[in-house]
Amino acid sequence: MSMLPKPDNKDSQTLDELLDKACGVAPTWTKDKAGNNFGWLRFHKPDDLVPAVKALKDCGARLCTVTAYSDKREDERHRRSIAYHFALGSVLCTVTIPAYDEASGEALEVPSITPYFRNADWNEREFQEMYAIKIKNHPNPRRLFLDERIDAGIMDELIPFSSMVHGASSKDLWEQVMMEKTGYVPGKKEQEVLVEPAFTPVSETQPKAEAATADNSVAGKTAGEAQS
Amino acid sequence: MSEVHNIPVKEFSLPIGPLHVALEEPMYFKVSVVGEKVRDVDITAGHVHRGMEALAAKRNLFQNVVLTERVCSLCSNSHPFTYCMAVENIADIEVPLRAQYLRVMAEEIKRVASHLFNVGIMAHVIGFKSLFMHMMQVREIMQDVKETVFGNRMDLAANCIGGVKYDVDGDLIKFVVHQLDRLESHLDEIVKIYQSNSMIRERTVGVGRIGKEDAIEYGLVGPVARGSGVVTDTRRNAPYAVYPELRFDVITEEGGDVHARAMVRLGEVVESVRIIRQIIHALPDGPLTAKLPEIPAGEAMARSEAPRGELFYYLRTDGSDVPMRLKWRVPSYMNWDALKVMMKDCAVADVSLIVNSIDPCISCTER
Repeated sequence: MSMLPKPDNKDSQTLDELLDKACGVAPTWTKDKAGNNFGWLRFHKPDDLVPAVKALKDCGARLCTVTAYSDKREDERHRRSIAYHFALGSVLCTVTIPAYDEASGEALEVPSITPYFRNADWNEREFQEMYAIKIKNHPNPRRLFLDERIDAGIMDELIPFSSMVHGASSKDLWEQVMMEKTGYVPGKKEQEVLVEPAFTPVSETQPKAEAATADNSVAGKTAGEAQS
Repeated sequence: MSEVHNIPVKEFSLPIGPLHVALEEPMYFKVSVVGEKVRDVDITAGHVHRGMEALAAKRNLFQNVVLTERVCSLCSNSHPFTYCMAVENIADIEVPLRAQYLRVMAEEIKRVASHLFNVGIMAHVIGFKSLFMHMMQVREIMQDVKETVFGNRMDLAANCIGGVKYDVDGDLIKFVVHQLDRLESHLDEIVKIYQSNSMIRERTVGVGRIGKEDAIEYGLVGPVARGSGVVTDTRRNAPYAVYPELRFDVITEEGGDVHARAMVRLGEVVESVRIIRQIIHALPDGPLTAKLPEIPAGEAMARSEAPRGELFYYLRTDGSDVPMRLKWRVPSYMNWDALKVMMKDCAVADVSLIVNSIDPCISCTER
């Protein structure tokens, strides 16, 4: 995707002017190989969303969908953002808000846009249960996919079955197994050489009388075989 | 309580699904009924939710081509096609022209088979069994094309990042043209039957109506929106691949009912055959894939016109080979909610017919 200094078609110019007027910030623009324009606008507070949404509704834009995501992997995955994707003619415009306080990282409630875009209903209910993001003033905040008994944001807690059966585990598990089996201590460079215990040969523990009988029978058999 | 012929009639709830003979996949409808009329419908989804978007963030960009092929069988070309476009947008990859033509050919072959399946099922739901059997036989012509060209009847596995994984030679093209001739010899007759047969018209005209304003308000897309007079088609609105170079009409109907939606689909079958013929005529020589660069950190959107309407993909990467986020929104997602409007005051006997008329895809909805 190439960056555009300014939008280069009528619909994207309309969006650019409207959002600049409504929010004081104009989107940045990119273009794909087919010439379609894409606008990108990120706010720093959840409540900044509403004036932009009103402006988009007024100009006849359509809500395509809403994407909630974690800003970073692993440690900071609780920092969620929400991207609202709108279409106007050939143009797509994404307005993104953080669902957390950017200074403290504390989770914040986000405003519902269902009063402006009817089809936001399912999208908001979905990210509410999948990402545990709280929504203000949603007209119908019931569960959509997950049962009421399942915690919101459950997908973050699950380990894919494929990872589990492939043995994709932390090295702690294997170190624990090795410690129990061999006395291996993680991090210790000079490990004691493992010496297997010596076993007494079974023949040495046989009673003497039995050993003698066994010797005779072997000798007798050998003699018979020799006669034949 | 309401009254019909002075006899008090009580409102009661009629549960349909999640497992029901009229539903091919599980969905739960709680239908409020007074007498034989539906007053309201409440939909509960989630019976086959697979957490595929969460899974996509655990797999690398190449593995996700295979994953997206498996979101849904009927749209199994549209998903990887649009996903690949999103990756190509992030990395600024120029797909070779021959590959773009072949992508569109696979897409239109799938559209023909998908639409014939839906209108065939409509005949089944209204009890027109001989027409249903005939439609499935006609659809088999395209199923043979899929099996012969791609080696599979549903998942074509045609797309890869930067191009396509299949090619057609002279013999295959001859076969496709032969099959298109066979298909067209049946299409005129089928369209006439759906347009004029009294049994079909009696059961479908005026049933499950949704007006243009409601269609826009609910954000409807695809044949459902076009059946209500909304002129929207991603192939025309937001051009991608080689669609700007192809001649085709965007089919619309004004009725907004079950019949209008079926007629839009049949009209689109005719247009898709027209598109495939143009592709065969204009197919250029050249490579099938682009040279792939490293996929940089960034975000991109892409959309296409799947058989059920606009399919949207959003991809976010961090410079590694595993996406930070992959989101897709399928056309059925909005169409479900509009059933509330379509089923208002309809007869209980028409519920399954109206559900079928949005060509619902549950495996798409419950990724």
